[in-house]
Amino acid sequence: MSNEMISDAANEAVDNMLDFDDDPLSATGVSRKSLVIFFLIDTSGSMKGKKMGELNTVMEELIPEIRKVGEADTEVKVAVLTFSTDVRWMYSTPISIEDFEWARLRANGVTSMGAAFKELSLRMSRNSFLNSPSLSFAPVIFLMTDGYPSDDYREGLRELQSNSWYKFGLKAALGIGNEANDDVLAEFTGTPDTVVHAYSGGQLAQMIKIIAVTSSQIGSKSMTLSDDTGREIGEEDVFAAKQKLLGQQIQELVGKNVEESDVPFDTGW
Amino acid sequence: MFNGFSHSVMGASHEKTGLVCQDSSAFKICDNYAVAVVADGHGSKKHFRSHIGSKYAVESTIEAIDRYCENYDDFEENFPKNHKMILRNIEKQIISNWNKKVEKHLAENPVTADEKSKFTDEEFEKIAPESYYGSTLIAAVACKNFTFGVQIGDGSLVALFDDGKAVMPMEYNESAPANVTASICNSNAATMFSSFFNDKKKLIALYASTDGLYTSFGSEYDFLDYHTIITSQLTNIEVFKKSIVNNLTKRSHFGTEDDISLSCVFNEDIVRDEKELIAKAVEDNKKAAAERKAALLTKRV
Repeated sequence: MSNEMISDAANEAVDNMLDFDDDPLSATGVSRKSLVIFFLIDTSGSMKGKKMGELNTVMEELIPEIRKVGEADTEVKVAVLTFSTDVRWMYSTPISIEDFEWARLRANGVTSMGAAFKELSLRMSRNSFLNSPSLSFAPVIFLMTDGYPSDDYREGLRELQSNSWYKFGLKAALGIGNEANDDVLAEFTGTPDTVVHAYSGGQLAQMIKIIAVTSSQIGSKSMTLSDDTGREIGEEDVFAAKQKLLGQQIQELVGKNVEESDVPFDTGW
Repeated sequence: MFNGFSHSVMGASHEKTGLVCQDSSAFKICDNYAVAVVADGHGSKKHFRSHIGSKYAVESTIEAIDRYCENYDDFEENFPKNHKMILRNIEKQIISNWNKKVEKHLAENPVTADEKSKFTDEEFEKIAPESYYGSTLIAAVACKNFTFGVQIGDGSLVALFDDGKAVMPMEYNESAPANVTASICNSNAATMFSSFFNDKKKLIALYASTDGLYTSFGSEYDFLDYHTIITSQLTNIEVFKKSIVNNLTKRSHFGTEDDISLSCVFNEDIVRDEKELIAKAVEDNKKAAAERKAALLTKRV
């Protein structure tokens, strides 16, 4: 059989496979492998003004970029948890990036980070936000804050640390301005490698994009459960390898992209 | 009275890695009972003969059910009274049948140098021989006056009774919380089964599927609705068989790329008599799905 004939046969097979418009069985769509990205966003009073304005703009711009990550073979879903005096989800469940629309956030109140950790732990469950049959990857969890927690964040973090999805999830954090404490953020991520800091609007935009896009790319990557010698490795090793890769890539990209000529957030604050 | 179908498709990920299809499926129709079975061979390195193990799991189950139904009148009389005990015995019979088949296969086909070359001697020593053939198993059985099922490992069993609702009736064995990893090859496999029994409702259709089907859906609602749609198509089984093969192929190709098996038995008379009820259930499900989606997209901040 010539190559051309093989190609024609293959095309015909794909055409037949796709010819389902009038098939009643197509009413329930096929779901690709899916990944959930959790954004934990500090909306306390100290985020008011330039920080919150910039964050809203960046997040609106970010959605099309995350859509591109999912275009290949992964369905990306987004869940946004805001925390100030109260904690609140933007939507009642993770939303497909295709349907997701950013709701502009306002800043007010104190920084209940511990309460946010507890709420996240409650929802990161097969009985709650992670109940999709097609869920195939551990979640990406991205924390953004500009200040020190006003509640007992360690108690919340202990609860979160006992959650298996958190253990195997890819964790990254962004400190905004001078008041954000990188040690607290590193406690959350488990490593300083995936903690970055933004001191200006330009940096904030760059950092959010770098972290969100890189982590969703790595998070949706199927890594083999065997090493170079063919020896089977555990899932814990795969997730550790992903977290390490995320740290390396973030540090590399941050090093290349730091915007120096921008007005710092804390000027005039 | 009973009819059925079964089909297995090979996952795109297995095509890429050169693995053969690890799933097996079958159905059997008799005058008094019908059986739908699927099995999903584990497919990982130490389960290097699991495509054979899944085939044996399917055969072992049908043989066990046949044996219990040999004297059907006695079976139908005794089962409802002692269903827990009889289910345990059927499960033991399946495991016993499977182990015998595996032992025979291994005796006739010793592990080859090529199969062994993937392991160090130390690693290979640690693998129990039956593990080479590890597989899950889900069996759904329709009898004249009752319905039952048994399961070990992951996968799904869906029933449509005469109220037109698709449900997952399996009562999961809480003593085996690691259900997703339970396998017919475990040394205590007979204690790791989950099961269900129902003699209260008339059955329309009963489905067993490997987890590749479930994971091709975005929600459990969609998964259940899919079975209602299938049931609405069963009045013309020959036409339907073509479309289900295409649909399963598409689901495997564009979904999670896993092997998919689906096996079904149904009561032709009730499918025909309840055609309108099933069509209404399909329409109701469509409306409910649209309402769920609208609620989902409502912002809360």
